[in-house]
Amino acid sequence: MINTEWFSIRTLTLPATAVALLMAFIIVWLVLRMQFPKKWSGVYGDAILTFILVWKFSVIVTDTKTVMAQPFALLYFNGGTIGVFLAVIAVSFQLLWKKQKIQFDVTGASAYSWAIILTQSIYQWLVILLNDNPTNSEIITLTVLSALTILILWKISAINYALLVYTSGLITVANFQPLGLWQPAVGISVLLLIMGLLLKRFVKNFETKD
Amino acid sequence: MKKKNIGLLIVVLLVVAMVGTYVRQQIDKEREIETASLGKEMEERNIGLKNGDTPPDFTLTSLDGEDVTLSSLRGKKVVLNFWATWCPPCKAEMPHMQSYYEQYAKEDNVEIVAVNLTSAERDVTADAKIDTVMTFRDSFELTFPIVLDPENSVGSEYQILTIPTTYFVDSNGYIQRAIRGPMDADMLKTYVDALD
Repeated sequence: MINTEWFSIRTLTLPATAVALLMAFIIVWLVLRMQFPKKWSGVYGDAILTFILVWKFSVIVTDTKTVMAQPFALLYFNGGTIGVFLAVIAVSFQLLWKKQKIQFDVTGASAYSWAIILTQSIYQWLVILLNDNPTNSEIITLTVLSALTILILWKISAINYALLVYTSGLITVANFQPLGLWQPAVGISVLLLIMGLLLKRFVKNFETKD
Repeated sequence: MKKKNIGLLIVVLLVVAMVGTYVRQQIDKEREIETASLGKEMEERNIGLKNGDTPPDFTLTSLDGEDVTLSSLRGKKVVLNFWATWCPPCKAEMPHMQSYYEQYAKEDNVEIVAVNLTSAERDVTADAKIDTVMTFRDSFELTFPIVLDPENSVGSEYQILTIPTTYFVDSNGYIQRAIRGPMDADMLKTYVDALD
């Protein structure tokens, strides 16, 4: 989806996509908090914090020249699209790094797939509500992702199938969106899927160890 | 099992809320189009600073001594930026404006007009102020036109309170957006792409 709106709070101007993502984070945190033991909304909160910090400060990597010349540029800018990818990779490493401490069990894996699917869906819904894109692409995204989300969360409990079905659905929907298949949302979804498949292996390991 | 239903219920409610909001938005939009097409015939240019208004016209002299008139740029998209040399966020965005200008200005049919709020520069004499702006331009190697507003006539007409402030004017000469705060090259590109 193309961003067509911006929100200004004094001198801070955020694109609607960033606003949508922040709102999605809050809603998903609340859902996780109610649905799963406290621990998992905590893990989600840590992941979000890492995501935001890496996204914001990755401007050091994406625009080293400006930041070196004027360190205060750090205050105003962020890492953009590359920053979002770096942030997702950082979150993945954080989860893998801490896997012993976090101890992903079956509940944890389920919480992961809820978090991943809901964050993406709610983000897409909000982006549609906040922006102005071709109507047919909006309707397709809205209906397919809504149906898919409810169906998966209701019926599919295996994390690998859940994420595989979801990401395939998102890729299909992306073909109808103005930005097409090669948009960041698809890349991120694939990254999160790979991460989910890795997690699934650790869950197995824990079970066989017991 | 009971717990699973709570989360799922919330998700279903969210979906219903989203779809409801979306349908209402679409209905509102259709109504808006109907009323807009009714009023179209009596269209007049409305001078002002809101989105859809025609920005107040001005003629100012650039650092190179050329006169720049806003209305004469009609047919091109205009990025109208207000700034001063002492303002840190202005400094932060200048390299981005320059790199955007070099890469895309021709292709996107855009002119950047950077209005320096010269009366707010912190030098004593008028000449010293202009020198400061020159030095600034040279140190950042800026190539887009920088115009001087020594009396703050344009700055006050545009009610500039925070800098940088940037107006995005489409090729028909209507304001489409005003941004307060600094922008990077990516933001600039997306804002310009959204212009008619």
